[in-house]
Amino acid sequence: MIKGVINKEMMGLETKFKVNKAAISKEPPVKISKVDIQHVAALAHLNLSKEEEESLARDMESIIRYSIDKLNELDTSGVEPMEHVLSIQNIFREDHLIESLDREELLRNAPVKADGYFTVPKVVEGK
Amino acid sequence: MKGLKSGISNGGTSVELLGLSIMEAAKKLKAREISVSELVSAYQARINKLDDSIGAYISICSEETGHQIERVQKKLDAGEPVSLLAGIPMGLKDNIVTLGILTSCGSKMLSGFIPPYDATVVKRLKENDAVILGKLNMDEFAMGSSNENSWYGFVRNPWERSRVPGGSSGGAAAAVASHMACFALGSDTGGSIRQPASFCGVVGLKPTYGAVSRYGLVAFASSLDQIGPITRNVADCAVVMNVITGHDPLDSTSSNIAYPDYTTFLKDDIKGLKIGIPKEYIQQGLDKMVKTKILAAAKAFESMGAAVTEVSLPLTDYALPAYYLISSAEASSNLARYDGIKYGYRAPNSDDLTQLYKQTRSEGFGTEVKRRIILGTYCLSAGFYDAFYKKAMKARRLIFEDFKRVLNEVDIILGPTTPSGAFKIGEKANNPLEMYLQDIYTVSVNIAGLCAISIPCGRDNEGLPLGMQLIGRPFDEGTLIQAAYAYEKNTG
Repeated sequence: MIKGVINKEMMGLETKFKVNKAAISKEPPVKISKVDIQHVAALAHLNLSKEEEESLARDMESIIRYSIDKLNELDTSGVEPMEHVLSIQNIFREDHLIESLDREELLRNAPVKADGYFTVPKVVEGK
Repeated sequence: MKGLKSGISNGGTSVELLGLSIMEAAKKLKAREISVSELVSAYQARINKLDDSIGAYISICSEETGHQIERVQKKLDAGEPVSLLAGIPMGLKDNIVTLGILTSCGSKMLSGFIPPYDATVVKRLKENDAVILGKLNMDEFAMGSSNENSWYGFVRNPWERSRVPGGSSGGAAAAVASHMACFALGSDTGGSIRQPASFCGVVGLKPTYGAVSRYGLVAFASSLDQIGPITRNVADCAVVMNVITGHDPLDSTSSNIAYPDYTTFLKDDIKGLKIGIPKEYIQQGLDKMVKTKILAAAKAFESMGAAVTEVSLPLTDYALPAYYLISSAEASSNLARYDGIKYGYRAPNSDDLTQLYKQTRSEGFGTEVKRRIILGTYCLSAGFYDAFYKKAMKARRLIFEDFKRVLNEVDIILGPTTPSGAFKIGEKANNPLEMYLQDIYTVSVNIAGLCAISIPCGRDNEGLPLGMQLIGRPFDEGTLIQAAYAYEKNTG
């Protein structure tokens, strides 16, 4: 495994980079319990088997510990989050008609359909 | 229609045909020394003979290919002006949508998905008369570095069948390396073009974010994904780049700038080019042989007149954790669309909507995809958003600025593509973190939206190909191509 090397020489470089020792010590250890995995799986609409739950909890813990321990070394105070590398603006287009895909063509991939519609299980209460 | 020139039927043995680069084949096709059908048949025969032992293709488009051969040959026979790609047999990674042809993303979830439209890159390839041989295997939804995560089975490295071809564009790199496609298009979110290109001994380019339209590329992490070429040499890479780059109104992140003719950069002259080697890239953790090859490449560049200096990218180690948090967060959002209703797999026997969603997703996604969805959902969930996702995006800005500073001092950055040569199938399959560390040199390029190319730079002790990575300024693929071409000419 490749570990980060932070030596004094690098600290002198003209970057905003500095090691935030305080953050390391203050950061509570990340512990993802099984309950968390169940909660997250529910948010993601996934059913997990017992084995999946256990192995994912283990994987999550190691991946998140590695990631957060590492990132917490960085002092990011005052740094603007970068969602995107391009300076993106909303792009408008002229309001004119263009050809769109055919309804039947689009429905062809639907696993269940009826009368030109997608079919879903009943979602309204009552009979 | 003019008659074919005499001798066309023995325009070359299949070995000779398969050895032709895009430019060579284009020349012979235009002169009608060979026919499109001969060239395509040679590739199809090669696939029939070899692919059972490699597994590069998920589907073969024989019917569509037949029509295309006829159409393109007619144009050539009529002496119409055609593109360099006219009649060239190629393959597409199976996350690039193709009208009427299965686009599975290597997933059970899309194992029956027949798209009703073409991706913009596919439209462009068709306009340029390229011949699509088929769709190439990949890690499920492009998540992986070994091509072991495909629902259609893993791909073997053509150089050594017990090794992985790399991923996620493993089928694309393996097909090009083993002459089962003249070139291929892959996609790269964190190294998925460059790492397999490195493992398979071919050329792979990740274009600058915004240079190639993502319309019709099945989304993994939208702020990082790019389509790019995998080719057998640098000149072919330039030819393919000419066709796939350009503004596309159907992709709102597509950059509306003037794109150069990349073949004008195919000149063997790099005098005065400033190349930086980040000291962090050649520190511990890097395979000794890879390091030797990278330093030898630096020497070769120097002897060609480039100025090679050591530079520092102190944030190198932070790119990987930032990448895995950001890409998984975006993936968890992008993959929310797979619900079993509009297209794709649908779990049988669910009479409750929420259960339908859950069962469909649980049965349709593989383990690695679930792992990333869970990781991403966790990062974005209430209480963790600031500490994880926002923190990663702040790190992203610092990494971006790190590169900006160095790319003000030098024209390109030189380093390894991967920490070692191709590893064994199964070797890292049970340790996701170790697998993720494969991407340590490639992810930062996507994080910062830069362009990078991986080109072969020798072999390791076991004879497996090694690649080096050249990283360039945004939209400066031309300089990468120029440096890579000069290296190839002077060392090949």
